[in-house]
Amino acid sequence: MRKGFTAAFREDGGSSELSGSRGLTVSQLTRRIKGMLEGEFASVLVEGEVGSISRPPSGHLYLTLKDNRSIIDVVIWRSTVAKLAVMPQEGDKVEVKGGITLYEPRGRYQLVGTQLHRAGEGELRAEFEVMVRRLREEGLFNPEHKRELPKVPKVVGIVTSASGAAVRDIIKVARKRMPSVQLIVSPCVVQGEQAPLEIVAALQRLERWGGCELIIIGRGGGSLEDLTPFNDERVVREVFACTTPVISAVGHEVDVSICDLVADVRAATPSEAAEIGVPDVREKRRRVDYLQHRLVNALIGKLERAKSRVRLLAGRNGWKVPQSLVARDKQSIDYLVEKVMGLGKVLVEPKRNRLTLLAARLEGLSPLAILQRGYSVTRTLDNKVVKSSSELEPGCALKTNLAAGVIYSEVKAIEE
Amino acid sequence: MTKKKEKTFEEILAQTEGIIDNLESSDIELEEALKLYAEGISGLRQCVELVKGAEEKVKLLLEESKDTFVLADFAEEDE
Repeated sequence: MRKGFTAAFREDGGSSELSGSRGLTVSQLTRRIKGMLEGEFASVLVEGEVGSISRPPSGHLYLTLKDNRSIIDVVIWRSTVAKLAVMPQEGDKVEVKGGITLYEPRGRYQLVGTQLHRAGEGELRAEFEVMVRRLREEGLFNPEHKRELPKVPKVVGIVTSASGAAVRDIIKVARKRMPSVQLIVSPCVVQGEQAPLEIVAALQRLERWGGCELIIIGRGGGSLEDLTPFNDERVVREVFACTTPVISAVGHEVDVSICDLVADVRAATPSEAAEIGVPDVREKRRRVDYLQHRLVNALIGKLERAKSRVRLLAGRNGWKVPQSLVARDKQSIDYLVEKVMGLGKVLVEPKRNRLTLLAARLEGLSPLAILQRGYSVTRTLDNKVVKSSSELEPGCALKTNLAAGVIYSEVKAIEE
Repeated sequence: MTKKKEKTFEEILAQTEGIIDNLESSDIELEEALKLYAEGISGLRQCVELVKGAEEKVKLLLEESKDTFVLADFAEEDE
């Protein structure tokens, strides 16, 4: 025995390794087994229950697949994990498609999964599609049932898990856009068998309480949780029956849930739902400020026109008696300034500046004030204000009013 | 929820815009202009009232017993 064993133990099997008397090295044997296994089971579909599962920082997914007799190691590389529609959980019945590989250093074989689905997913999918068709035919998704969202909702209900990322995202975004919005969380679990009933109960709770103007129904901030509860017909019908408009932020970016289809508005994420549902008051403030600006300018425009009238009047009556007229108009303008300033007190800061400006401009309304700035008014002797040199001819007599005094003069030459 | 009797932000804003259009374009007397101005200012004030306001706390809607509701403070986790 011992001798034979020694004879069989060789560094290299050589070409005669198949002969019965000579043995193989461990790595030779392993390599041969590897060749056979990987050749035979390059592509298999296997169904089983997920046993232990782990995902180390490398991102690869390691799990065991078992039935009541056997167990097999499965690895799903990181690049494939990223494409999985559902993340398997311990106890899930799944189908894995892939090929067997053998890891030579340890002589262990494993299934490298390239696809993973829920077991029986094909049938579920078919059932789902039948239900979607039935609900569509019933008209649950019709545009005429879509209600308009309130422009400025004061109270917004949120139906989601009280501890998930969804509720935090909604609160954060809504607050930023409109601090005074009242958010009411109606909590429910969003995963597992109880989820549909809890979601329905949470919706009904908000409806019976009756204070909401808008409801956001949401689910995990972009994570790969299960959509199933939101495809449950009870949930779908409850969303449809809601008297309050509903924004649904349930699906993934590509996967739409039935809840999304039946809701009044669909959002890709809970944050987006808050953006759609809650107005950005910062934007509204800008619109208000703009209108304030226009309003003040419109009044200034009116006063400018009044100013022109004062000038015209002064022009018509000449400068013999303007003081009293101007004084009267100036008084009434002063009165206006006071009134406008009085109104100004109720305004917010940006407009106060506008009004200061307005007051400053009103100061300049009086023709006398204009003359004070160094301007003068030139007329012909019949008191016609000269606006263009073409109205004159050389030799015309003119009189010019200054802030102080009058000049009489004669035209020497004219340039157009 | 259906419309309440009080006007919404958008309605008031649209109305104010109409007043401004009127003030800008039509040939009205100063007194009338001032009246429109006052009206416009009060509209804008209402708009500001509607959109400002203190930050509201998030509440948790609980039902103690059938149709008896309680609004509890919602514990916000700090991240």
